[in-house]
Amino acid sequence: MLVDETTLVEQLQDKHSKEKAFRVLISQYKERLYWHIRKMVINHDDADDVLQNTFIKVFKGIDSFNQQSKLFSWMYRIATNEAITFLNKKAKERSIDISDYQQELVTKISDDNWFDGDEIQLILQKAIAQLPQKQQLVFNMKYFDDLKYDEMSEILGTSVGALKASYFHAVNKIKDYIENQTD
Amino acid sequence: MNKFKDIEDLESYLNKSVKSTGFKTPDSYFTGIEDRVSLNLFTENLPKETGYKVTDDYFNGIENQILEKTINQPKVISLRKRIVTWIPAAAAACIVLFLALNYSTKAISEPNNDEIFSWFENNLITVSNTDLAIAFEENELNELDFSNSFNDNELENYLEDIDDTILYNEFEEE
Repeated sequence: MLVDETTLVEQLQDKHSKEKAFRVLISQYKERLYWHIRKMVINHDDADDVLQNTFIKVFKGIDSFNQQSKLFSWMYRIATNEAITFLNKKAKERSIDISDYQQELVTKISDDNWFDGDEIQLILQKAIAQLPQKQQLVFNMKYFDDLKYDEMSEILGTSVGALKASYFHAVNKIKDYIENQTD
Repeated sequence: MNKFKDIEDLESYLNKSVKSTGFKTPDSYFTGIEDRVSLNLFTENLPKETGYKVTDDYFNGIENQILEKTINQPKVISLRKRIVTWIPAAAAACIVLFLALNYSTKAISEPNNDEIFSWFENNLITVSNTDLAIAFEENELNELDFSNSFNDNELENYLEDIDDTILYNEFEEE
């Protein structure tokens, strides 16, 4: 049974119940956060590292969490930032742009043991990888994660209107990419 | 009492009265609607799964890995925090010591003669010949009894047996 966020935060910020509450937190949110991260970093081992770093940051920062946003929005934002930081670091090591790095990752995805998508799924991932970072995030969060625009606005700190526009442009570019690939 | 005779009369009335519902749309809403509908139809045909996968037991094992790095991690107290914690205790200890040293009325007891002799015998106190000369007046030294004198043979044997280094050191001190 899911524990409601307010109760969970209270327990996390109480040193007597923090440990138990943190276990519940991991159990409740590990999969959602993992798949969000995985869609950004592509590779499973990298997603695993970023996920663990995310929970470590949550554990260290929970005492100062002021509940101005929802707990999940806060964690989602940490996960997003950790993934972007990770990608930037990897891209810098290779002396290439983050977008080029992501496209490179997706190019190799068909050889990845942890990808069993069909041809259209592969093309879709390649199409997403060629989008600007923000549009990738918006598309993945709206299309795959089924987040509402209000929730995305809280996570990304962007207005609903801007997010809708971002999604519209993202879908347009994906459509163009796929149509070019399949012509 | 219904003022309309029949449905045609009602329709005639409505056609002549307010047509607007009062509802409004954003500017240029209808301009881009074809594109939006087209895109929605497009996404309807896209796969809903990414194709990414994990091992069956991945999510079972990840909890323990995270707990090892958080809850089960030994707490590291920074040096600064340790110092800050101990400053008040150290300050209090210094104040107590200061007060004890400056306001203590208990006198240090003077050693008795037996204690002093014991210290000399066990070489815990060494006194140079110069100190002895200063400590004793000449007349006091003259009164010392040297009745235990040594004959020449005993003296010669002593001088031959003694380690020369001891003699050199004694001469150097004088």
